[in-house]
Amino acid sequence: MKRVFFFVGKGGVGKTALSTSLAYYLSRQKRSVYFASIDPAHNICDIIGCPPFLGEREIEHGLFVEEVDVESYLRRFLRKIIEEIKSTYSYLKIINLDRMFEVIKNAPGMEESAIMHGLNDIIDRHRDMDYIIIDTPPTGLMLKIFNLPFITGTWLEGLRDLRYRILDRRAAISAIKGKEYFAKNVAIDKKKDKVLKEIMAQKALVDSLIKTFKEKSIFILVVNPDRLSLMEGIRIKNALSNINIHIKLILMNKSGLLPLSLDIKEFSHIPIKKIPFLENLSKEKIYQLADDWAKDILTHPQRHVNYFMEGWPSGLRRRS
Amino acid sequence: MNRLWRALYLRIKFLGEGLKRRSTDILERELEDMENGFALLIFGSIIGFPILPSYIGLSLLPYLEREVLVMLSKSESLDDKLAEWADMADL
Repeated sequence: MKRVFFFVGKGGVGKTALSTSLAYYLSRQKRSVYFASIDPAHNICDIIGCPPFLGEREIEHGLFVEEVDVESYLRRFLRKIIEEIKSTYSYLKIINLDRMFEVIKNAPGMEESAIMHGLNDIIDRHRDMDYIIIDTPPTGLMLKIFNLPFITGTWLEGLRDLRYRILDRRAAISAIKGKEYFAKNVAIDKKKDKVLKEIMAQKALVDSLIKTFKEKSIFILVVNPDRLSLMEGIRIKNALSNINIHIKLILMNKSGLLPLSLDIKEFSHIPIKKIPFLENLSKEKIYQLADDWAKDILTHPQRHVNYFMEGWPSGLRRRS
Repeated sequence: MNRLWRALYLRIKFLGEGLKRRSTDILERELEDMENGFALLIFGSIIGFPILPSYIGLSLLPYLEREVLVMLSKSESLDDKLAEWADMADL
């Protein structure tokens, strides 16, 4: 995997249209591309003009598309927990756990967690692809998803340290009083402790995601010329900067349709590419859209994106 | 003479056992407090602690039987702290 492109921005600015155009463009350059939407209200199929489908499908040679089924990740996760709980707490068999988890499924934070796991899973499964393109949900949910691995990582570090201390105390007590002091299912050895194992597994997952965000990803902010969209763009830029993720390119979609707001000054240090407004988005128009921005940006990155050459798909640069 | 040595040995052993018990008493109490704290962090949202992402709590839940039991027994004695202190001081 060379790069992961994340398209972020306010709802309705054209993230899906522009990410689709990049996917088409890269696949026409004979690159293998995996293009996915992690927006629970996804509409890739509406743009490419096919009936919705489950799972992954190759829509053109080397271009794989998927509308990630967030619900299925949530179901799989809860199913695993239920099985584990039933095997550990055998006396809970009389309680209808499935019904309880049906409620927990809708608890705050569960959807973001499921999307985070889904994101990690799809990136992991497509490491052999040249490029991965991710269409994200609108700002609110998107920021929660990108923040979650960092917050979770901090929590897991604290829990891991406390767990180490607990296991050290158990080991000290059992050395004095004998192993039979603790019940059989109480772990003393760090290698056998299931809690520590689970913490470490979750930590490895969030670390891998953070590494992908920081080292392999290119974040593209899509905005419209109007004030509201730009102001939300500023908020996205600042929120992502707080977790050390930086926007590398701004695509000003529907350029010319509305007068350009003065808030654009806030992005003076980030390269901006204007995309003209296209009515009735057909497949031909998506190709045209790709020619308008992706081809130009990818073949002449120096015109637009001088300072982040290292992060750009170098294989597509035109050699002078 | 032998009997004297034996009596002395038994006394020292008894003292040693007592000290050993005393030292593990503190360790055990410390361990229980840590386990209680661990469970409170995981299930803290129930009593208004800062909440960690729910899915972490759920994914650890199957393996925390002992910690949950310690937490419940600790919460039962919350209204009887004086007795707990008296117990600690061996009164």
